[in-house]
Amino acid sequence: MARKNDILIELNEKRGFKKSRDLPIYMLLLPGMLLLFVFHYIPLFGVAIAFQNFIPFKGVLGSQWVGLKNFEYFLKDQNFWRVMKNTLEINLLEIVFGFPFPIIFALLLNELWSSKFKKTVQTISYLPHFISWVIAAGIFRSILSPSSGIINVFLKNVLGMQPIHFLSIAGYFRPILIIAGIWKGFGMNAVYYLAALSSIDAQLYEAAKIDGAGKWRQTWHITLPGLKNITIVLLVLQVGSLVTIGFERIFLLYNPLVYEVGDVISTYTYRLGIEQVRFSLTSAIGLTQSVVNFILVYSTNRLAKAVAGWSLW
Amino acid sequence: MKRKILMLVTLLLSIAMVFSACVVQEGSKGGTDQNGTGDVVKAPDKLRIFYVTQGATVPEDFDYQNNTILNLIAKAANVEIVEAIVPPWSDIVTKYNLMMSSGNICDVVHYNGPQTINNDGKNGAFLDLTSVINNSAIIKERYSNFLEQLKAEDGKIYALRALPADGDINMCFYFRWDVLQDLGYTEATIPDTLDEWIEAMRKLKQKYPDAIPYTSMDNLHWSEFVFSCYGITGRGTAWQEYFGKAIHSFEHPLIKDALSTYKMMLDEGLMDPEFITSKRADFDAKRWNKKVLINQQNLGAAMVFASRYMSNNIPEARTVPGIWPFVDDPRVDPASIYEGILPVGNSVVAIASTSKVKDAAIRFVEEMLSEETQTYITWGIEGVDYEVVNGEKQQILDDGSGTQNFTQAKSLYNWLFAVNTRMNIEKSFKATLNAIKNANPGITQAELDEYSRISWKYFNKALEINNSYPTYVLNKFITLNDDTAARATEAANEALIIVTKAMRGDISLDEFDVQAANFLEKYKFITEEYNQKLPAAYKLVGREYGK
Repeated sequence: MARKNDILIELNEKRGFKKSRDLPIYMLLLPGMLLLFVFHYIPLFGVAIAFQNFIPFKGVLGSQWVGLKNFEYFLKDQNFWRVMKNTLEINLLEIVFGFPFPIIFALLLNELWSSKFKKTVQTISYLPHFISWVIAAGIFRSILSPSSGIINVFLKNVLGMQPIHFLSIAGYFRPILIIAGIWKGFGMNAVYYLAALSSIDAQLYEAAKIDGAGKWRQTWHITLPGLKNITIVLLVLQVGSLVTIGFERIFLLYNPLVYEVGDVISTYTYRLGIEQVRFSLTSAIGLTQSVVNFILVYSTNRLAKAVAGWSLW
Repeated sequence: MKRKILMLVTLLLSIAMVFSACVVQEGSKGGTDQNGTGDVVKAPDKLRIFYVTQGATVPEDFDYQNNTILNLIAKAANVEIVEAIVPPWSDIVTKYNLMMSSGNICDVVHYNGPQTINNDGKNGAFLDLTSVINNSAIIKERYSNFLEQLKAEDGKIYALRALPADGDINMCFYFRWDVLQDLGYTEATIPDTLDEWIEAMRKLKQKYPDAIPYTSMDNLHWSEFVFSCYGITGRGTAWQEYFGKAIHSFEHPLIKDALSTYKMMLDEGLMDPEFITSKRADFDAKRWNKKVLINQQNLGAAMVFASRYMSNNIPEARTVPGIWPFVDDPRVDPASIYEGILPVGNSVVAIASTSKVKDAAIRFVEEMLSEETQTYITWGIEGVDYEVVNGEKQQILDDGSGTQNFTQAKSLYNWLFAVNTRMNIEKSFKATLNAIKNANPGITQAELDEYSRISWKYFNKALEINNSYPTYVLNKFITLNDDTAARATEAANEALIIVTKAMRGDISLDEFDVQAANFLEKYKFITEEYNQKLPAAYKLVGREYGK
């Protein structure tokens, strides 16, 4: 208690801006802030084109204002609601199946005694994170190929089954997408949890052992509460992007036969924007997406505060 | 001191970042310079160009911005090419749209698709070339007969289109003559009908179970073999001409017959079931290694495609242009597949209205139309690619390294002179024979002559049949309104889903009817706009609406 008070006193003494002490530190923020400003705030003016029939050569000032016409258009478009549904469903599936995976993996890894083996497993598991989706999708396409993919070779030669064209059957597409996402991301996400695990005071485990707590009890009462904050942070961020989904993974794996279950907002806006040159429409969709994401982040944060007593802000 | 340095470095880094994000490259007017004799020489204007390869085979290490032919043309026009954006052929729409959306348009734009250029021209992206044509002797001379065909809907000319070609037919295919011979076919028994081709595919599959007699790519081929045999244009997913009017493929009375044929081919293993997920590389791998019997190409490419097999180490391959085997049904309109010679082509050149070096851009375009350029892109460099014997040019053929000594990728610059002229095809075919000879050291001249004879026989036949039909105008001389064009792209995507599902049997033909009817109702306005604009387009090529 005395130590805590000392720290608080020290912090109070340090409070307040001292130019000679703090300016260089704040200056380090400058490049980051500038980047944020140039690439995230200045483009906000471009939001105006969502309310225009934007023609690039006429510019924002020269293009015709059309009010909410673009919003009306996509809200009435059946395709939009299909991609919205797909985006939400795929993201929810990712949260249900993908979110707990790195936590479980980190917990298991944390229990390993051999640090060499632990590091090896950890390295192998987060390597896919550094592979681009172009390569990863190529790997999945090869593995799943009906003619030469290892899975179909096994089905055909060992089980005597007919080859399955996994990527063109709607029923298989989402599981493949989720598995690909988990495979690529769980190792890296587990690093966050491992970092949080390493910050849990070892004395707590020793005390629990003395009190007779077994592994399950220790996990339930010490480890999981220790992971609460990072779990909430990651969950809030993931829920906050519920109507956003990584473009490359789907774009590289999907095809017209699985549009019904695999076409999402990002791929739809890509087709509208880049193939059909409808920039105003895609901006309107992007703006709506951002507003919904903001509401979701805010609500989840409030919910986390109400339920877990801790939130991002 | 350390703090001050840290602050300074941070500040410089920040400024550099902001500036690096804001740099815009632009062409600039050249100044003047003095040559060795003291005369004042105008320094070349700096020019930015965007151009497309038109599917030409280009060596991997080729420099699109700095190469022999382009440098010669640039020098003659007194320009310096400071940037050349050349997207991969499969990606031209995306890259073009990205350039346009940035508003930072290259000074000279070469593209495939006059409709796109005309629409963007109407919105202010490109210069009206009417006065440029009137004031330029060379452009006027080349285009005076085609001014009407160059005009956009607003009466202005935004794009110069490629001059007519005497060997150019888009809708064609080649077949593997060596594979047919291996199956016991002779010249007299080369398949003539769709049924006969399917029978040949069956024989191929029987003899080589691993073979893939027919394949396509992820969004279906631009001129699908089976659809074309039923008189259905392209991928079976778009609008087409049909007995003088515009219809969508779904309205074609034989669409379900074509879909049933595809399904039968898939069921029997004659067609590659992976076509819908095949990317270009997968498609090529199958084409080279799986004895694919039929491949769609334009006539010029079909004639010389064997050279591609040679460079992919398949020395036995012999490709021959094919004649579309229409099903015997009065509901097939051959004019929707065969096409007469176009007055002007689809390869176009435009000048950005925002260009700061318009005069230089015009000079460059004039140079692209000059006699000298025509020689460079047809023959290459004298002494390297050709020699003059008794006053006549003769191409120099090399050891079969693939370049045939022609200055690398010279055909890239056939922007306004069509690629597939008879002369170009003749020269490329000679190079193909040379490549075959080098890949097959034991081949006799008699064998080469025989292959040459049969290839030219089919080439001439295909050209003759096509030229006996009127010009196809739908995607050549009709520009849809901006919004309709965008919706047509969206519609093609939707149609593709319906078509592929029906081809594979994922939906029944009855279900296809229902989905097709909904589709046609939803996109009725596109059919109407096409029909509304068709009479004027027909007028440009001397045809009559409804006939």
